[in-house]
Amino acid sequence: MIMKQEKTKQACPYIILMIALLLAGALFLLIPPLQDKQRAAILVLVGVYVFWSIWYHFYRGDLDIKVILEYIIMAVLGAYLLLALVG
Amino acid sequence: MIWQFFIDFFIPNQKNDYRAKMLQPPFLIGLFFLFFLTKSSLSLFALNQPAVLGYSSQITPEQIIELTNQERQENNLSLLSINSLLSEAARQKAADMFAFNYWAHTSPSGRDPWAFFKIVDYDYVYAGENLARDFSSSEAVVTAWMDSPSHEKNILDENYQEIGVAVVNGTLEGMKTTLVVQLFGSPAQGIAGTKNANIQEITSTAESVGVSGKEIASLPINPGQIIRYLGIFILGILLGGLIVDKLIIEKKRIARLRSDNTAQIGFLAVILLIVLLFKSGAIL
Repeated sequence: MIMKQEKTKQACPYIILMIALLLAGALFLLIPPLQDKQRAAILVLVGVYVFWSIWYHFYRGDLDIKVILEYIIMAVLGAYLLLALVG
Repeated sequence: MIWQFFIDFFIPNQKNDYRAKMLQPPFLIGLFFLFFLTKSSLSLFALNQPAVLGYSSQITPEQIIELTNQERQENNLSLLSINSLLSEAARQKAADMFAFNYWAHTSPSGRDPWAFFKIVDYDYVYAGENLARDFSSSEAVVTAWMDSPSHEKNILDENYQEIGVAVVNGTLEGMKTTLVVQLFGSPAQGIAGTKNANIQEITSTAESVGVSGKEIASLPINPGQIIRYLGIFILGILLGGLIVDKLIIEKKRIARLRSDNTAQIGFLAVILLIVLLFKSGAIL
């Protein structure tokens, strides 16, 4: 029982992240094809991701610049892929 | 030697500090610049070889007008009649956009949409303009406009009586595209005693540029599709690398100070989903 509770507790941050990312993704796909709005949605998406990563590692007690840099690089790469789509 | 390189590149082990080199910042930064260079090269290639790159389109002015009137009919508004002067103004606007290579309501030299009404001698009380590019069907264009409040406002404006639409193919910002210009107007002489009074000029407000995608039927090379496929390939490689990394690290129970694989996989999976579901086209 305690182990199950522990697993649920561990999964919670990931569930929050996925809900936030999917909402931002849905926002990007559902808004009218206006470049400014699509760019804003991309910023929201990567912003949520980087913010989550800082919060998550701070919460775990292993916040480190090297770790956050990995998230930022991945976020920039993902954002650039999406920006290339909208022009 | 080569075998060891591949192992270090794909598999986390002691030599690569328990992180596959393909997931380490130097490679990711290199990947970013590779994608950037490919995108820039494609744009340059498209600019220099416009005949090689291109889009085909099923959009016609008649369909755009018909669909616009359908929307108005559904909202109990009067149908717009086609005005040849407005159609000519729309065609000239499209030609101007291609000639001076801009995607905006106002040209870089400051020429606004209403200048084209004046060129064709169309005196108006109310006027409006909607723009679209990179769509492959008339339905997709009108749907995108109706999804945008400012464009919808133009289509459903009760003050308009006439319409003119031009659908023109050309090269814009290095990409061969189909441009749709939709002009609305109420002729000054059509409303007694109101000539030159209370003139309203409305363009949709937001700005955008869009490229390529699923809806565009491609000719030999479509730069937008290449970018999309390259993006899917990069995301697939990274996702594969992260999943392998996660499985090995969890199996060997290795503790390390790195970003969380589950989070990275989730993020890239959402990006991949967006790339796969993204539909082409842009309005202005």
